[in-house]
Amino acid sequence: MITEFFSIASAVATDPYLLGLSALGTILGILMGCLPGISSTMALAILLPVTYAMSPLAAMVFLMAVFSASVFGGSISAILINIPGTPGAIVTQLEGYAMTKDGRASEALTYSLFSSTIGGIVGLIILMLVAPLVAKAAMQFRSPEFAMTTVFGLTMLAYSTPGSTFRGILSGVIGLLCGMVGFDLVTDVPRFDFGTSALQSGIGLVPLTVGLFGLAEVFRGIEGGVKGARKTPKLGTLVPSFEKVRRLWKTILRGSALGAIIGAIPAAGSAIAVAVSYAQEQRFSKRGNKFGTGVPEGLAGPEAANNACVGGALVPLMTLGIPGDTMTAVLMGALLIHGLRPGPMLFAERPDFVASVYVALFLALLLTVVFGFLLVRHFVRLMRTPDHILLVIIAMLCVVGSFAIRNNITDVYIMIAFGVIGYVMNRLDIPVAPLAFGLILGPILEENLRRSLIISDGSWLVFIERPIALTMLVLSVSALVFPLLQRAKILASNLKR
Amino acid sequence: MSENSSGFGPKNQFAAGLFLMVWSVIGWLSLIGSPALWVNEYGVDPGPSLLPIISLTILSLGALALIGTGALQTLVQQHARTRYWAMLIKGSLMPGLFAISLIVYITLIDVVGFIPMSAIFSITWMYILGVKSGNRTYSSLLPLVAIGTFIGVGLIYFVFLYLIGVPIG
Repeated sequence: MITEFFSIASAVATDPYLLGLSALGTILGILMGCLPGISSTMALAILLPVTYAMSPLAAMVFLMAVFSASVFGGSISAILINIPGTPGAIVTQLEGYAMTKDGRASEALTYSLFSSTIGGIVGLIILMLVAPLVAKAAMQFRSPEFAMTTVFGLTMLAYSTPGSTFRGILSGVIGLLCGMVGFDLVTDVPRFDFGTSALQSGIGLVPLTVGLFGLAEVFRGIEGGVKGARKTPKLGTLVPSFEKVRRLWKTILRGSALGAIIGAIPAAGSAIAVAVSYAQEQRFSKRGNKFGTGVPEGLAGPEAANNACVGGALVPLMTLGIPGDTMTAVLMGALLIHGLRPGPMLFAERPDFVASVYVALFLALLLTVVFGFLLVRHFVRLMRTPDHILLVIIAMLCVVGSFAIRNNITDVYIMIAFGVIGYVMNRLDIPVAPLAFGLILGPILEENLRRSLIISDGSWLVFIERPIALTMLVLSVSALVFPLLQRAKILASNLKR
Repeated sequence: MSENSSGFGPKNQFAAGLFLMVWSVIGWLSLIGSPALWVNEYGVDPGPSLLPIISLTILSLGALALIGTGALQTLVQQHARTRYWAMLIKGSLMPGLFAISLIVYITLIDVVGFIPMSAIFSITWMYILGVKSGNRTYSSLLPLVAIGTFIGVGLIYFVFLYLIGVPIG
């Protein structure tokens, strides 16, 4: 893998096209991440269609840059205007915005950029070390293990989604059903197509994700009250004070390690990692009682954890084919569009591609530092763009982007339909992310479920007789039953009253 | 994580259950209306109807559970009168209009062309939303809308139609 890493790295570094793509992805990632109302997932979903005409390597270089840079972008808005651009930046605003109010916005951005970069590099190293080992272990997996791992991934993703686990699971089931629309791959029998040719080729991932994560957010923005131009603070010099950064090295390393480990747990996500890191730093810091007033440790630790999560979240995606969060779900969609199926076989069959993911992430981290320092003032200026301009442009991007994948107007109608569905689900407090996971993981689940039953001659015991499959099944059932028991308990006490 | 710890009201439970029930009814109708899915000629392969049946059963039971919980909670808290439905519909009016205008927009792109149609869509909505955002005068809003439209439509045209060659409009 090391040989492949360096050979791909030299190929990318000497290719102006790939370097340019990475630079463009980084700039767009920071920009979209820092614009309030555009999350990293939305940025990835909107920009995914652009990569359709690219080679898999070029697409990965571009998308990894958007992915990684948007995480830092999300911190800019959290620090400067107290609006986290990504879920992982929720904690950043606590100390970051306090520093901004204190006239130390530049200092906060410097800490954020340095910690993010170091966190990202640590996450990448952990990804490079752990992923081959997990992939090797996963090589022992057969259809029953894969089927149950997919079920486990779906239930965990529903469990970790904000809101109700129960509703998350039902949302995931809708995703599974959407994934079954069109011809069955084994028997060629049409399903859920309602006799229309438009649905026979299935529901594409891009129209669905663009609708759910892009257009639905536009609807929410319109509903929630459109904001005018925002005021942003003036920035001083963004020259890093190495002495100040040096004093934080332990904090940054702790946050990085935590972020990478938590990020690697399927569905744990960056929001959990930053919360744990913040709590830990509060405990370790001599100024723990002053947290919330602009203490650098409270900013640097979670920021490192947030970016280390990027590498960590790629572990389950690359090795098991299970996205760790919504962002990696969209990335997985990109891989599938380019004919690459993440999982242990990817390591065996396409080590060059796996290495290119590492290189793309490394390059994105380096370029985020460069563009972060050079262009942050311009990004901040763009943050003043009023919502009524942004929302309309995003809506048009959603339309053209979903059309661009197959040059098919049906995809645009599907995108609008899922935009409306996503909006309605949001209003009804039904999480939308599991729906996208269901669409992605549905075909994998069905293929492995049916294959397992064919192997076992129709016996469902195959999922109980194999230890790994059984473990996954037990964990999945626990994630399902636990909230239901809690609910029944609360309902019973309500009835008693 | 649980239902009630998230503080869902009975009407929210009921509405969410209804929404999911609509999905499950549509799914069952489609499944029942496809005789090819029910034939038993796939040998040891459980067939293409296995996962749809499992999924739809889970969805139907889940939807029923939410509707039932909503109904039960309404019985328990009969006094809790809220304007939930009215608020739900009122809040969705503007996004609904936006969705309808998007359908009109993409339908007319073929007739009018991408740039003029996008400009009309963009100017109209940037203006309406700008007015909605308040504290803007007519004279200050128009230049901003014009610049926004020029940059937005121009960028999309340049990237998607010119560079990538997407044949839209």
